[in-house]
Amino acid sequence: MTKTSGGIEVEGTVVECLPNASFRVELENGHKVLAHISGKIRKHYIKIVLLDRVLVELSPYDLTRGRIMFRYRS
Amino acid sequence: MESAQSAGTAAVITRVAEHQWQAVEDDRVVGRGDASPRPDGRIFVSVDAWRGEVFDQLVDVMMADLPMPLYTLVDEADLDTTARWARVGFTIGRREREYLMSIDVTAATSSGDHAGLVRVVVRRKHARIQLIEARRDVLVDVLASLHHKGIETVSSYVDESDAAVVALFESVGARHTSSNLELVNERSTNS
Repeated sequence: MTKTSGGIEVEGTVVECLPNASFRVELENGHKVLAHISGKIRKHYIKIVLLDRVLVELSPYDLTRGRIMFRYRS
Repeated sequence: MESAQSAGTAAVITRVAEHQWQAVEDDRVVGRGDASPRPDGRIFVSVDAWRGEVFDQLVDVMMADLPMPLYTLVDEADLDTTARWARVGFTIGRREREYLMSIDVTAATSSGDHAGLVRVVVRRKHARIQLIEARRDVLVDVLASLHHKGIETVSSYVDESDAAVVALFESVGARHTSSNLELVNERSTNS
């Protein structure tokens, strides 16, 4: 887990694709968060699918929510 | 780089690089904006913020800093993000359909010479293609070639207004799975 000026970033795995373009991501510590994809990922047509390894920035206001910032190559 | 602070909120918006902006509140980054010029000259922007008012502030500053019009891309199913962009004046410019094709059982091939161009990006057993020329024989050849290489599914984004390409993908059994909205704001910052 890394702490950046923008918030806490954690790695996780996409375990569920949900409506409203959101995803359930299981973090390395076992917690699950509801995550949307970042605008930058959307802008570059990067597709997020089940079981993708991703980097999630957690919301400083609600640690059960996050934003997918990066998709790792398999 | 220049900073801007809107009245009534604590976030300070700073242009930290030519194409990057940050919203900072209490020494913490609470939002980011990014601009990407495309080869055709259009500028696509993206904004990520945890709160709506910070999102609006970032867009305001970016619109003042960048030449209009500006474009962005959202998933049509992402109603919250689409509503945020609509609130700051972005409207639907065009809609892109994503088509998905299973090529597990692709058997058709074409014969003869043909001209065409297809951009292909492969990831695992999936490929994303961009058809430059809407010809069925080209598409079928590409699908057959990808199948031969072990690719199981293919997806492609298609401009919904391009009836020929839409018909072409549907003719090979492609399934419409989602849509992207290309939003545009043509408002002059001087008006």
